[in-house]
Amino acid sequence: MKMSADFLSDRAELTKIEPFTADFAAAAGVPDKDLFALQIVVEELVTNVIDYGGVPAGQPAARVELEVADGVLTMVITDSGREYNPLLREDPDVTLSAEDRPIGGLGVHFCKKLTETQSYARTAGKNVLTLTRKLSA
Amino acid sequence: MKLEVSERDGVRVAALAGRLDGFGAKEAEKLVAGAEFDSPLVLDCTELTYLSSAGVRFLLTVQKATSAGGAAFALSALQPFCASVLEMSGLSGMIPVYASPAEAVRALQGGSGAAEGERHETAAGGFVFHTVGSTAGTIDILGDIANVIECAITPELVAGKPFFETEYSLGLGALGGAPEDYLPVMGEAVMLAGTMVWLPTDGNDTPDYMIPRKASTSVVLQTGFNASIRGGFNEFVEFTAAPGCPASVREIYRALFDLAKLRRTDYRGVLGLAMRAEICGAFGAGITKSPLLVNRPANGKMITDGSNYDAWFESDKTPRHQGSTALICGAGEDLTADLSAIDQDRLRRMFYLNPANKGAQHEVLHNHAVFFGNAPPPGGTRDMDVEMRRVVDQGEFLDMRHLLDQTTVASALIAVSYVQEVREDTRED
Repeated sequence: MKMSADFLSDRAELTKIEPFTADFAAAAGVPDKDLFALQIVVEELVTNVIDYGGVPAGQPAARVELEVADGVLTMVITDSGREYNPLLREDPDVTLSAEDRPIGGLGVHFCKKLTETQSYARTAGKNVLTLTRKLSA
Repeated sequence: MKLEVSERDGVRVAALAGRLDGFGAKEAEKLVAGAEFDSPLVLDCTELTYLSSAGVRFLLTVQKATSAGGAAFALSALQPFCASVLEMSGLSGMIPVYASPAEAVRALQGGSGAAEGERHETAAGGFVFHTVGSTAGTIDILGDIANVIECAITPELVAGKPFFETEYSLGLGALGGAPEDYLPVMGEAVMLAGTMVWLPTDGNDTPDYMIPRKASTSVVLQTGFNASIRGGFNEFVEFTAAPGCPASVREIYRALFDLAKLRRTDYRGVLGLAMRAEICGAFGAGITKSPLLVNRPANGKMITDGSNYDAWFESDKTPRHQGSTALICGAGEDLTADLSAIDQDRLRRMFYLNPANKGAQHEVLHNHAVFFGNAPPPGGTRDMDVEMRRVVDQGEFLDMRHLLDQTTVASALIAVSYVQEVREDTRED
């Protein structure tokens, strides 16, 4: 089962993520628990591209491809933003008190927590992030 | 994103509806722009269906603003999905969360009713209960206590467990890089709000003590068995025994069990506790050899069996540490309660009958304690993390032991989790 969706560089595009991921989950039989993980991962990564990718407003920014095979969910996020590997970012210190928390880094931290594998490639002038998660039984 | 602000008994309640994602957070920021944050604020999340890292940042912004304005801030009715995102962000212990806006308002009001708490006199002594949170408590289990008492730990059964500043857990484990370093010295371990103490079974009877500064994955407890209290605490309880008549740890648990039956509709027969106790007489026990399969007793019996006990455990016959302050992490199972809501197999992986706990019939307890001398008096906070860190920072470290039920206590501050579920600990680094 495969599905994909394209997102323009505009925060309003983020509202498409919920119906897109929910449709995919229904078609691919993704359990609710994994759907939430899927929504978070896609939401966080597409938001990063829109906010920091440097793609001019309203232009195509990212493509999200989802696939379930052999009980494993694969999420591929390809973006045309500036070259950037978010996986190299150091994890935020989640033990700091609310007052001392720096802004940022949390989204990628979530993605790492919610998936088992993450890889980055720079291919044909695009950033390609591939993340996988084993679906719960 | 919708925001509706109302006022209840002097507390502002802002009901946030919609998805607090990257888009919703921007909208929410616009909605609160220009607002004053100088009075108590409850953000009601009954209709908040989604939370992302951008949403968490929004919550942080509000938390910082109220904190700068000297006002209290809490969330209410956080839905399970949003609660798990908050937990992942490490903020779940830092922003108080209440089950309903009404409960949050009561807590933030700080009026006479809330400050005084709910008072109960029992055979053990007097208890005063304060509600501090209403997330559903869980105990997460890693490994199996049976492998400890059957002396059946093999290298494959040992798992690396990262620990966190808000963690309360107890178990058997060791620190060390390579299996040949940690396997032979595994012993009683406890984690108390960021302080890890363990008693290596290296024959020196000297606890090893550390405070990890970061939740990074660099410090990992190698453990054959661990039970963690998760989800924050529901109540903060002040306990005072009658003058000259200290109560045993068992009596305190018994009273908490009995009161829970009367007071709490969410009582499932299992409590998780974090306690600061002023000790009259401590009875401790400690395993003295690492319970590895290769060390299994020649007679093949459990290490708690009468024929093996003395060779495997050192347990106090006379009280120790009189006048000290103990920081305790523990859990108890009430055998008189209806335990049917709790997974029995997982429960059995946490509790065992220690023959040194004489007289236990109606409850099974498992507690680990760290003892301090010259601890500062209680600081008036109802945040157990804060209270424990004060004792750790200012007290003089004495000892760490598995705590036997007959240990006596003059007074205590107790954070109670009414455990709803005993789960598999699946959290890895």
